[in-house]
Amino acid sequence: MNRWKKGLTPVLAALLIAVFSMAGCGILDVENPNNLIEDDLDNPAAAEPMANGVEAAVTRALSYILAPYSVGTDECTWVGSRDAWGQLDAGALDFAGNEFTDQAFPYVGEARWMTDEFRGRLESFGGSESLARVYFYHAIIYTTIADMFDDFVIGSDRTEPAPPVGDANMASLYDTALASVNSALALNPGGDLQTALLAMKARIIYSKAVWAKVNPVDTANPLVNAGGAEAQAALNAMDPDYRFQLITDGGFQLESYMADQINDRLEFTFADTWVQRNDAGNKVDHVTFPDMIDGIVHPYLDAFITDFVAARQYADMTIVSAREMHLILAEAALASGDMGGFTTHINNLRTLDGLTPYSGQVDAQALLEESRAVNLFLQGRRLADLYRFDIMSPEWESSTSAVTRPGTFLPITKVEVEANPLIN
Amino acid sequence: MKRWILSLFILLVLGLPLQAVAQGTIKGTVTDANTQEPLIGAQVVIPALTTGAVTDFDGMYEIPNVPAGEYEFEIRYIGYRSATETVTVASGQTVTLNVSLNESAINLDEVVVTGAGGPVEKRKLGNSIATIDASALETAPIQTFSDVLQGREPGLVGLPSGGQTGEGTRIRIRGSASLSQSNEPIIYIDGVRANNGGGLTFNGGGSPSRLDDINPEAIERVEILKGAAAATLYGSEASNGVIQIFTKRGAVGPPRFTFQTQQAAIAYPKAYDNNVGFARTQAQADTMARWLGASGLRPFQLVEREFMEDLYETGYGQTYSASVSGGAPGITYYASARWQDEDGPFGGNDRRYPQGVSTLVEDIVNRAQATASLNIFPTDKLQFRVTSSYTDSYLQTMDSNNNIYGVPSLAQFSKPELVKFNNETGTVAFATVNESMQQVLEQNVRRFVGSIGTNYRPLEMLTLDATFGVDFTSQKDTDVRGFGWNIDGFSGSETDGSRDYRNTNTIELTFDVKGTLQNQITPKIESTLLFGSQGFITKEDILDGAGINFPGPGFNVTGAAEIEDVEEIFEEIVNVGVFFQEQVGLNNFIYLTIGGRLDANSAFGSDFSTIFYPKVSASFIPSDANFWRPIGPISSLRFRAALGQSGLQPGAFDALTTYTSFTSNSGPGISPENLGNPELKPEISTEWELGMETGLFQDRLAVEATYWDRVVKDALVARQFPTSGGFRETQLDNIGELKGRGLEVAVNALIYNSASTSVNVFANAAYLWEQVSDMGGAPPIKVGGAYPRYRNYLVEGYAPGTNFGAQLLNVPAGSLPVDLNGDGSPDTEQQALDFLGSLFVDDGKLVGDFDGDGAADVNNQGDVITYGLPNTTSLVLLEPNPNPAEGLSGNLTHVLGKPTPDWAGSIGGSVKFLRNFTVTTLFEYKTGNYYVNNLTGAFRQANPVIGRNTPSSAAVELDYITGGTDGSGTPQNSAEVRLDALQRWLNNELALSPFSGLNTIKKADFLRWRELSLTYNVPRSFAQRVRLRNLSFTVAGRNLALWTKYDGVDPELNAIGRGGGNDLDDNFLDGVEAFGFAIPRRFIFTMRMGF
Repeated sequence: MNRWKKGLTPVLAALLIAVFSMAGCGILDVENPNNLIEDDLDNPAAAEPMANGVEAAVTRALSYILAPYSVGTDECTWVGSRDAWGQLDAGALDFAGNEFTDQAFPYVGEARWMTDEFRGRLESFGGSESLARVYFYHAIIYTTIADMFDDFVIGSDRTEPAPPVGDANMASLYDTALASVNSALALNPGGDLQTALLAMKARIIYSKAVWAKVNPVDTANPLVNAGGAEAQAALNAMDPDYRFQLITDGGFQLESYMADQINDRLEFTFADTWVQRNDAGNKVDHVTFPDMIDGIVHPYLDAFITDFVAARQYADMTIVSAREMHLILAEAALASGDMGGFTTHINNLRTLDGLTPYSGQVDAQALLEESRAVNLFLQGRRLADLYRFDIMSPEWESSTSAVTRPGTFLPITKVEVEANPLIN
Repeated sequence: MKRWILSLFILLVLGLPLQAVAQGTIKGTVTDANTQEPLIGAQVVIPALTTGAVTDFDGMYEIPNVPAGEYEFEIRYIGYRSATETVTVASGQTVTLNVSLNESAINLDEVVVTGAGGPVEKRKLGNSIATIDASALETAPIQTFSDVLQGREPGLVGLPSGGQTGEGTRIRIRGSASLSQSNEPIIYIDGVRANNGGGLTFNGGGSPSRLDDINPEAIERVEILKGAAAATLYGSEASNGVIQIFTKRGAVGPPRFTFQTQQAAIAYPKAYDNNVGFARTQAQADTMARWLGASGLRPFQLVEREFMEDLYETGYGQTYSASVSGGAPGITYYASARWQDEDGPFGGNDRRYPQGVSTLVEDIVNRAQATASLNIFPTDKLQFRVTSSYTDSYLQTMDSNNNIYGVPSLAQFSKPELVKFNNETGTVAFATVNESMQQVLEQNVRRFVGSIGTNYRPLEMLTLDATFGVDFTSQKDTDVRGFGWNIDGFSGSETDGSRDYRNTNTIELTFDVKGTLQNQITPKIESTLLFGSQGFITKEDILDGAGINFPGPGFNVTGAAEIEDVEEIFEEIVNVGVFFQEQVGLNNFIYLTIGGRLDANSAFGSDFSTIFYPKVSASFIPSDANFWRPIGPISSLRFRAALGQSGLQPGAFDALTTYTSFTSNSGPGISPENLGNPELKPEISTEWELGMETGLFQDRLAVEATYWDRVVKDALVARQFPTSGGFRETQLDNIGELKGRGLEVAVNALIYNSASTSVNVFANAAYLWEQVSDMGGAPPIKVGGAYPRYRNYLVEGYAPGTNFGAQLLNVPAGSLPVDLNGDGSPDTEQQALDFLGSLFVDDGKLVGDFDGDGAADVNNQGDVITYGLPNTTSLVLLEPNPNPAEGLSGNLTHVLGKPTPDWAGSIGGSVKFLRNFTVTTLFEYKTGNYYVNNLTGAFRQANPVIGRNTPSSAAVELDYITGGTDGSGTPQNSAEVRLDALQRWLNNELALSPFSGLNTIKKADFLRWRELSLTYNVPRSFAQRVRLRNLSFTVAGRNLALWTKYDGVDPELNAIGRGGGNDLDDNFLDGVEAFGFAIPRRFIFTMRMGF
């Protein structure tokens, strides 16, 4: 045996040398032109691509999470084959295993992480417009999470998990978002971004106040008076019908998942509250929802849905708008009993659509509720409004969480629960 | 270096003069010892000269130019015991050597190559190696290479996945050896690493197999290594086994021609539940009556149609193949060509189309295949060989399987009550059936496999061999919807047309250089030392693109579209290894082998360099020993044992942390893609096996058994880290462990043999046990992503792919697992009756009167509240999670069975009668803890929108809504009828999310009559009269019958076919039947002749 080993050793050694010499000559070094590696992000030239990537990621995340959120409200209804949409439509919002909430969760998590990670990298490069943009997207995703989820995990980093924020602490995400907006404004980016930041500031302050109205749900005093001054400041910088949108487009292949499901796959569509569907029941035939005062099809909703359908998979998503600022101001006035102020602000809104000015024809709060429903359609604001204004989606079933536990939003989903040991 | 080349040249020159020395000729006849019939195609070999001949139709052979001397001759023939004769050849003389061979069910002298480094008798190997001899399958109904493998070997399973024209099988050997990497065995063709992929880019089903590019007529034999114990010398990609295909070679002699034609008729079986529905109102009934051509329909009357079967036709296939082979001393050749053309059993014609429209898609496959080989022997010590094959194939097919635009899925979704002029079958969503037949999937493949090799014996004891080869595949897949493809105005998807394409160029380069040193150390001890190096370079270059929205009809290029997209992907893997093996033979009946392979691979992490895989094996053949005395009926006996390792590398760039491009409205951007892991290394499969082969009754009965046990350590687990950490994709980590063990038994019996009659039977069985024994702390992995209807999981402690899902709450007798009254507890039957008794039908809708006011109840907004079969978890109560500690969350966590059977195998045989007729048959079976997820049924029985259209589910819904009807169809609102319907709903029909798995995952044991053939061999005397060497006719059938308790379409269907998903899905998305085409019956007529 020893002799055998002795004889074999030089042979094996020679072969080993042969292989290592081959390895040494670089035969194992293959090219990967498909991707960047971590070190490439240390290059300041990567700042703008990082900001662009964050913008794209936040856009994608919103398009994914808006889909189950909107089906869970009275905005959209299920008409396709995948029954998990039906569960959301029925008001079962709290099911962690719902495939569409579960599918969307990682995109939201990714966008959250990217805004934090890239914010840190860009801060190390120094102040720039790219950094201001990342602050803005950071504020958008944090606000979205606080608006749409009952709980979330913030702080996980790559393989390291973090514990959930906790239901009771979700309002702190608005504070984080607000800090980001302030950081961005401190960089004085100017232009459209500056305007959007001002509006975002108002939205965050307002949203935090709404959050308090649905945690727990307070249907007795649903109105909030918050963000008015910030909204006015934003309006002062805006064109009359200003809106800041996250853009999807076939040209750069960034698709809106929600639009794809409505317009292409036909899994869900706009609910009967708003539209008349076609004979097959899977597409919009025409918009029907009337303005409360004029009784005509609401021009804004009509235009919005028409544009949304025409955009096919590439419908843009509004983040902040002059309309929302008017609504914040109107609600603030109404909440404080200032009917004059309410009338002024609501009519500023109605003027945009050429509608008859409000002069007490209908109940003011009802008009506010309807105006919010129409002017913030598919913007992820509806569920909180349904709860605080005590409105039931016609599709909600009596046994589901939206009915039995008003104030239920989307949960931390299965994919995170099973991968994160810090979630009980 | 120069000295080395000079030495080699001298050695070469020294070998050359042997050609010129004195020579003689050997000729003779090889016959069956029992019947005295000539054996056609027997090999007569002189090992010392690496030369030989093959017997002709008269059993005769001739080997000219044999240098004078004494030689050992080996005479081999499949199914016969090999013989060895010693003959002395004198210069200028012809020696006659006639040999009679005894039929044998066991052949330990069979020479194999794969995994051994060079030609070696099976008896010397400690590991199992299977051989499929193509000549034994000549009369079988085989049209593709997938058919060659199906059902032949215990432990090798072909998974057909579907019955779409051109669809290939997935192959598994001894189950799964990886949790994350491909479990397909690696493929070699004549020593060249071959593309073992497949798939149809734009559809999960109907996937072709690249193995079917291989011309089955050109195959001489297939060798199969079943696992790491045998495949160690193949290194880092071999733990799923190795399949090596040897193509035919020429033999010295005049040109021999063969010609064969096959004509096939193909038909789908009646396997689908009829589409059943009913109208809710008289107006709807009238519409149904009009478009279904059934007058007098009334509401709540069940109507049945066969929308799936309406799409069938009788398919037709034809194959023509020809070959020529021959050679002269010093050179042999073989060439073949084959044309296959099939128009499958999907028709889709005679539809109610708008004017000028017709069905666009067809199910067609065409294959043109050519193969050639050349062997040149300048001297008896030197050989050059060249092999090449070329395939050009075309496939046209349609969307299918779990695809909302699939023709079969839309046909099965269809509801008679929704039929209209422009919705011929009444589809509910996505597209009409007629629209879906306007979409065309195509695949064009051009493939070349070639090698050059040389074999040189500079010394009597030393053989050097080198093979260099290439497998180049160019595959183009397209998916086209023409402008205005939604001819019924139903679909909303890409209505102005679209074109998707993917060009995949794959190149596999192989080099394999080795030396074999054979040494008879003493008369009793022989040594064979093998050493060498092997390397592969795999490059994949993908270009894909899409165009959406054409400006008008007629355009069919992406450049014409409004929205265009293009993507390029490049991947390269380099693997280099060295290996050695020493085999020592003692007294010709004990053989010990040790060896190993050292591998380096470009996919390993930066912190990892090389891996060494060792092996050791032993073979003991007591029946060849001097001391052997037959024990009872035992005439041959061998024991063997083997232990070895091999591995599987991670994907090309899995070790790297990477960021991908992600563009926004503001410009090009980046986003995280791959977490990366610098410590990534191959997973290591360690396998041992014990086996025995025995021949009984003079080797007329053979039994082979192998027990194997495999542990895969450092198993690559696609670990899902918290997605809140920023990286959505899973990351490979060497943290898992996968165990498997099994038993393979094969019995082959030659029951009777005479000149005019013979009876042979065989049976084989393979037992398989697998378990994910360690996930390394990673969470369970769900197969199929977030899609809840696929229930296969990787969970520690369970077989890979085990189904987990919902289970109804166990309730006391007299109660139901429902909470209709909302009191938070299961309802008693009386409570349920009370609830159901308050329901009634109003204007075709089921409403309730719970407030007792005699009118339908309304909600707080004044809308009438409607009811239906309960399908939420607040109404239908489920058992909670039985094992929360196992990492699965929620209540879809009950074990519902595994998709791999405990036992799989085949039985069959052949009977020759009336001298010239032969019947052969093959049955395949799977049994034991074998479950299939009937997703087709789940959708059709439970989905409130696109389902509830099977006979049973439609009846349940009808009874629940109406509470029974009288003779005129008037609802009777009987609570008892509704209760009965509710119980049927709960126990038979309710399925899908959030009840995924419930009433869906079914026992699927089956026995399938896979093959039957009857062959008539025209008597030679007649064949010779028409100047033919041989002539035969065969009528055969394939997939003739299926016996199963499975209540779905076919237990062999699967949601995805070969290459239909990512590696995880390809591995473990198994046993999921989802809207595929049933496996068709084939009736094949074959005529073959030789001249």
